[in-house]
Amino acid sequence: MCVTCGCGGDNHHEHDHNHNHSHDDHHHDHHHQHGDVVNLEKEILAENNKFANQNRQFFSEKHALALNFVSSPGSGKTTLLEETIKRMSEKHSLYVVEGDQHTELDANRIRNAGAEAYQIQTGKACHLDGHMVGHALEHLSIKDDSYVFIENVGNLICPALFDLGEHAKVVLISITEGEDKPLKYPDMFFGADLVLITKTDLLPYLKFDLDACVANIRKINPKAKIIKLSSTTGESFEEWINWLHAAKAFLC
Amino acid sequence: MHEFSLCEGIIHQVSRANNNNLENVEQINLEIGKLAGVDLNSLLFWFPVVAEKLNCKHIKLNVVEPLGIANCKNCTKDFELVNLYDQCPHCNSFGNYEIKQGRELLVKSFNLISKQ
Repeated sequence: MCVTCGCGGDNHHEHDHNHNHSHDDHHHDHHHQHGDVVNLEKEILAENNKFANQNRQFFSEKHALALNFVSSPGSGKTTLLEETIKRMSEKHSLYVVEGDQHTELDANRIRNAGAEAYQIQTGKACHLDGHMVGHALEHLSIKDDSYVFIENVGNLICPALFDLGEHAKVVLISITEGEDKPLKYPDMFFGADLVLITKTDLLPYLKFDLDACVANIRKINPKAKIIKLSSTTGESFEEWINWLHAAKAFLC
Repeated sequence: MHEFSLCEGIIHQVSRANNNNLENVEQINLEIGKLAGVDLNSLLFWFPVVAEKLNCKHIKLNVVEPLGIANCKNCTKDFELVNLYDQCPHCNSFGNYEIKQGRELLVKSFNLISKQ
């Protein structure tokens, strides 16, 4: 039995078992009469948010910057992290929580790039939640003053709703996806602190209106920082790494 | 698909608030704002599936959907925000708003089965 949350202690959390996070139970007895309406006024996501807050507390105590990377599949999240690790791992401690429906492939790529990684295989679930990430953190030997990158399941819809306890949300959109994507999936861009427009090295080969893409992001989110970069050529990587250092300084 | 997880959360919360008992619960009342990022049709599709799995398929769902209302920070007027990328109809500015209503994601209450 897991001491953190009372779940079965199985790290592979698939949401298909009826477990009970018993430490948040009401301990007082209710005596509802039949025919009553019982007021609850509780957030539907209260349980997720409770675990997200525990993660937040963990990151805060470790003085670790935690980022939640979200995008559609194939936008270049893992490649971005590989290149970031190669540039930063000599001087900084970096950890990656990988989320995929199946396989350990991404975690292996991260390990080969030089960082410790833990792979969550969500099975049927389409997003990471606070509970899964909390257990993943138990498998990493996270040092103080470090960076924790959480690579969410490739999906531009579902992960928008689930707080993981991160300091900031980084949304990626690759130029192979089309400049209208922010309008098609507005919830994700609404919650972004940073938007990375990736694969800019492919611009000469594609019909992609970069200005229109930025304008579409701005219609939904005028505050988010936007960086256009390429993990292949390293274009604007310095700006991205500088953002990471600034986020670490200001957010944790 | 995340609506499946939400249905589980909804039923667990009601169960806990009712001494881990779902047998006497007739209806669950939700408030899901139009801008909450939840597809109501999907939620209504998954609810009976999850309810059956958790042995409470007798429970009905009642959902109130508050409209999206935003306050424009440019002209300070309120307007109905249907999409997050809508412009203010009063001053035509984009994205410069604060959402006042429509992000709700609440289990408001539940009804217990009346004694016959």
